[in-house]
This record gives sequence, structure tokens and C-alpha cells, in this order.
Amino acid sequence: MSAPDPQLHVARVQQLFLEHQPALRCYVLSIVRDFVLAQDVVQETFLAVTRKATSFDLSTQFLAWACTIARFEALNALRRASRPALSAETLELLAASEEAAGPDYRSDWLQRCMGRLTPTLQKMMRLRYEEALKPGEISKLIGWTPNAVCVATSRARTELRRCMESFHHREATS
Amino acid sequence: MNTERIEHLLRQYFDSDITEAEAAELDIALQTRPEARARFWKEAHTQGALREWGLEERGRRELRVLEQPAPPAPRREKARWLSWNPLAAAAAGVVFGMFCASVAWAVSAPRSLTLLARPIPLSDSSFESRPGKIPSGFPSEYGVWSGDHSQIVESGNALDGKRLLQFMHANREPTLPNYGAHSCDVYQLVDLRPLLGDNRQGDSTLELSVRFLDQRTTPGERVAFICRLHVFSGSPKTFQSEWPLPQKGALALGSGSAESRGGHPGAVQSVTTKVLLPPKADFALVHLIAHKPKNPAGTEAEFGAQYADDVRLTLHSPPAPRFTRK
Repeated sequence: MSAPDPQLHVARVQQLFLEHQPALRCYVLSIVRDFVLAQDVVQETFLAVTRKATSFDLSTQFLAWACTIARFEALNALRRASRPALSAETLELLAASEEAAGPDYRSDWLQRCMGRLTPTLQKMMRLRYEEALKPGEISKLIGWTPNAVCVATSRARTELRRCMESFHHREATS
Repeated sequence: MNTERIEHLLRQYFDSDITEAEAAELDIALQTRPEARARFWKEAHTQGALREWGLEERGRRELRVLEQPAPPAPRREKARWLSWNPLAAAAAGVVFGMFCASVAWAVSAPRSLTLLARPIPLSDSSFESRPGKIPSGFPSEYGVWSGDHSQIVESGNALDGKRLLQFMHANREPTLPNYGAHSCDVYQLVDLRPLLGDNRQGDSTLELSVRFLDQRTTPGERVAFICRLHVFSGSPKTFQSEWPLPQKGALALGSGSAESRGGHPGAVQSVTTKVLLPPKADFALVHLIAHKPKNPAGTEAEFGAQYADDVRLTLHSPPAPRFTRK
């Protein structure tokens, strides 16, 4: 049997990256928290994954391998930006915890749950997640204090999470 | 530490306002308390889902704006995708098909299986057509180079012919202003339908190769040269207004890269990538990138000494029975 084509192997690894990109983006975001920085880190991770692709065994778990690379890139990015970070040990512990896999929420659930928030909270969520504004910037736009914005967006996230969990529960039991 | 305190620290953490002291406090809580880790992930997954939603909403909103009836305007100002129609697409396909007919078949170097290597005609693959700035933004049609600020220049350093592409300046994506400040991106859409026809076995590969040059005479900031090859099904009709969001819908993606710090003008970096061609492939996107990973936040990366030339796209497929010798 002939040896596999290295370029095709790299292409398969890159395809896996594409398939797992939302999960990786979520993971990177959990470390750097900043949407713009997270996007840069995901791009850097893609380059690093490509460079190391030949060392990846396709029969092993891609996401765990890619998350290790992403974690390294994310911590480097935070260091360069002089932003506070959790320690590498804690991030490793978090990655190993069973909750890391994440729930299987459907995107239309979030859309429907969003409709249940008050108009003010909906507007705030759009400013935060669509326009990528930070709480301080939102507070200037709507005339609230930054702390009030933080509390309100946090409350909205809790409501949305509960709403999606109820959809998830209903689907699991139906 | 009580639950309320953990909630507070997580809120500070995810809203990017956490201090070093609070981060250290949260770190200890996460290391020692499993319920804090569970709470962390709940918050992280909600944040992740909301950001995905935000990106999609933003793309949809931009599209809605574009789809609104435009006010009367001189015909020449009309955006080309808005006037896209099947006849135009068919005409483009015919022209493309005629060009394909003149392409010779060749046999590639044997690997595990002898494959036929068929060059796919890219438009202006060596940037010889005319000097000047290339159109800005994502391409509105097949067979055109366009993208961030770049230009075709005449140079004695051209690797194939007299001209080459010079990367000048990174531009943010109109749909996602926080995206693209590190990279100068140049694209070309390639219609694969006339080439593939009904021969869609899923056992062919598409290979992209590009030659890059970094003409800085002294070593400096790290620059990555990247070539990407995306393969999609359907039509790129909405891509111009939505890019980079449609990346997520790619059937296949390949990427090759090389890095340079300059200091070796004239040294050529050849970069290639290859993808397995899915049976449903309809078109490909050739994407050339000069990328500055350490570009300062809030600024758009400047280039000028980075070039690309001699872009080649090749289809490798197993020989069809009609081409085998008796």
C-alpha cells in the first residue's frame, strides 16, 4: 500500500478545522473574551493547525488537539495585549471537565428565545453581540452605568440559557 | 467564596473588565470548585452561541439592506450582482467552456495512482493583463481578481512575465468591521461547472499553487503568505455582500502558508494547497493573503514589499476509460 499524500492529509485536517470552527471559536472566546481578539486567535490557530497537521493522527480526537493549540495561541495573544488571563493549569482543568463539550442547542431556539426578552434587553444584546460593543460603550449609547449594563446583559443571558434549556429538555423528552 | 461572588467574578471575566486580582481569585475558585467550572462553561457556551447569533444577524441585516429596492440611478452604477441573471451566468459559462476546450491534458508525476493533471484556466493568472489597482471588495463575478488594496505592477522581479501583484494595505470587511485588519486579501471566483460537467466522482483533487515574494531588504515584522482554496456548491450570488460569513458553508477548504521576515529580496516562496473535490462542487474561490499577525490592534496592516505571481489551479483526476491506451 502506498503512503498517504501529505497534502491530502493536511487538507483533511483543515476540513476538520472548518467543521469544528464554531466550537473552537467558542473555546477561544472563553479564554480571550474579546470578540475581535478571538477572531484573530482563531485565524492564528488555523495557521498553527496547518503547520502541525502532519503530526495529527486522523484516528484521534481533532477538537481536543486543536483546543490545545488554540489555548496556546489565546494565552500568547492575551500576554501580548497585557490583559488578565486565567492560568494555563486552570484552562487545562476546564478543558478536561465534562461540561466543556457544551449543549447541543439549535440556532433557531436562540432566535425564538431572544423574542421573549424585553425590547430594551433585545437592543442591548444586539449592541453587545451583533455590534461587538463592550458594556462601557453600550452604557454611553443608552445612558446607563457600565455596571447596570453588565448586570442587565448577564440577566438576559441567564434568561436565554434557561429558555434554550427548556427547548432542549422538550426535544429530549418528546 | 460564595456563589454570588463567583457569579460576580464570571460576569467581570466575560465582560472583559476583570482586574488582575479578580482574575487570580477566579482562577483559584475554578481550580478548587467543580461547580465553579460547571458555571464557567454554562456562561462560556451561552456567550459563544450569542456571538454566533450576532455574526449571523449582522450578515442577514447587511443582506436585507442590499435587497431593498435601490433608488433610480444611472445604469452604469448598478451593482453587478443585483443585475445577475441566469442568462448572464450561462453566457459566462459558454465563454469559460470555450477557453477550457483549448486546454491540453497532461500526465502528472506518478504517486500511488497515475492522475491526469488538468490546468484550470484562471483569469490573468500571472497578472499580465494591465497594470494598476485591482477592483476593491469581494469579486462580483467569476474570473476577476479583486479584494483589498492591491495593484498589478511591472517589475524586473516578476516571476512569470513582466508583471506581478503587489499587496498594499489590509481593509476591514464591510460586513464585519472588526475582521480583516491584519490581512490584505485578494480573491478570484472560479466556475467549476463547465469543467466538471457530469463527471463528479468525488475522487478528484484541486490544487492551488502561488509564488510569493517579500522584497524587504532588511529583516522586520513577520509576514505570512497564505493561499486558500474554498469549494462551494450553488452560486456565489450573495457572497459579495455577505463575505466572510459564507466561508462557513464551504464544502472543502485547503490552505497553504509560508512565513517571511524579509531580508532576502528575490527569494521566492512557493505555496500550495490541495482539496478533495466534493461531487457537489460548483465553484471555487482562490484566496491570496498577505498577513501580519502582530499588526497593532486598531490599525490596518500596511504592506508594499510583498508580491504574488504565477497562480496555478490544477485538477487532478483518475483517467477516464476513454483516455486509456489499448
